[in-house]
Amino acid sequence: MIVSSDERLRRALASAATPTAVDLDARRDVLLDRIASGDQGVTGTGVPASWRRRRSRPIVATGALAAALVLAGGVAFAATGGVGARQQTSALDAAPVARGAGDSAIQSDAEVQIGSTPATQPAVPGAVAPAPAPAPRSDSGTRSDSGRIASRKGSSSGGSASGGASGRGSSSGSPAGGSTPTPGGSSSSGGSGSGSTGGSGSTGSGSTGSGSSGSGSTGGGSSTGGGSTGGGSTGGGTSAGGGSTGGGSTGGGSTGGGSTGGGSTGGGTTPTDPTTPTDPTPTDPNPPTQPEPPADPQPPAPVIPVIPIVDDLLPGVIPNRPIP
Amino acid sequence: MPAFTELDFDDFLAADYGRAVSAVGVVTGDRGLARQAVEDVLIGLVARPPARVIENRIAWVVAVASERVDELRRRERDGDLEGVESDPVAVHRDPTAPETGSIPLSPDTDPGHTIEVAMLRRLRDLPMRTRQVCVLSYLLGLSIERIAEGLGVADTVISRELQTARAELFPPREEAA
Repeated sequence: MIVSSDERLRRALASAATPTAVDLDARRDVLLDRIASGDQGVTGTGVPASWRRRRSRPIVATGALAAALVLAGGVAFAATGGVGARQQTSALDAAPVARGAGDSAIQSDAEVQIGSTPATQPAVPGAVAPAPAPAPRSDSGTRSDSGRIASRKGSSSGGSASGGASGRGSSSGSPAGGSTPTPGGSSSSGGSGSGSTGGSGSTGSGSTGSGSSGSGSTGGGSSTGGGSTGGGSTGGGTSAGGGSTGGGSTGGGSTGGGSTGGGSTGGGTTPTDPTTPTDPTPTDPNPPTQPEPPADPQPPAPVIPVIPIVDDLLPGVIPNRPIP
Repeated sequence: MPAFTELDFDDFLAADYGRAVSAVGVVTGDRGLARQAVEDVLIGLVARPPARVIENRIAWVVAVASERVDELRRRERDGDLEGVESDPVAVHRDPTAPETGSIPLSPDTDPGHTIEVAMLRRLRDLPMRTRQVCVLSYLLGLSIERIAEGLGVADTVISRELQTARAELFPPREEAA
């Protein structure tokens, strides 16, 4: 008789699984006693463990791959500057606010505060700074949200993006009048002093001219405010703000994205020793003023003569064609 | 078949307890530990039923109980197991040991028996999952679909395990002849 392999295996298993006589009632009593005594037995799971392990392997691999991708993404994000890169972007976005400012003007968020209103505040005629050469962007420091200025030249990479809003309180134009130069060298970085009375390194801060209102430096040297004439902050960094002219920051060395707004020319910055950012160097409180340079005249539109096309010419005459 | 609930405890004892112990004994090679493991699983089902509804309870109990036997073996080796008597199944004994089991290993006996003993020996070397599927299919007569729903896996997984079992257990053609 031919027996298939399946039948052979079935017989082999049946012979190995010889049942033993079990008293079911006794076993039932034993089981009920164990249940009554609080025995938890084997924890019931949906799928047996030996089957669950193999199914979970692709899930584990997928999870590891996802984690690797997340880490790689984080590294790539950090390589591009991370959160600090936003600072650079925001500065570029804010630059057009100060119309007429140089390309090197770096506007921070603090410079677009209330009171600065660079776009609406008119420039003071005749209040143009000596117009130092605009500092390249790499020389200008990056200002963080906290009003601090990166104290090293060329540190334009947005680093310290964190910080509070303590430095945002730039001059809002409320305290008019001339400023009281304070001894420089103070280290109230990111000061929120309105007007031109506070600020480290703001020696002889501007606003000696007419119409100065709240000029001067606030915080770590950022000179904001409108309507000021004269020198900006020394030892400070960014001089900006609506209507402020002559915001040239000298010294300080840290930054100085000197800028002016309101259609006036920008101040610019002459970065100096970056190692002594708080060393005040009083500048001329009354810088020479210059008339505001006129706007660039629009070149006249080219006139292209139009030659009419004449068809009814004499025989043999080639008609004119319009000049392309 | 209804899902396994607390109310089916007596029903399972009457209908499937003996079969489950035998199946786990074949899978693991020890009837004593198999009995203990099946009872542990039953108590666990009553105390803390699994979240998933178990459609085929005996397949699930056999699979979980055979895994429980491995744990009991470890505890037995460590001397941490008391009150459980080991009862090894003959086919799982050491092949070099004297032939005192229920299955004859003498070549003078029926050649059919020799083939079956060879199958059981090969079964002993298979992985746990393959042994489980083989016993559930050939000993308890469950279909692939029933085994799959009892273990909570796909039918293709069970089919693959069965193919592995056949390839390993069935003798070569010349030996069968």
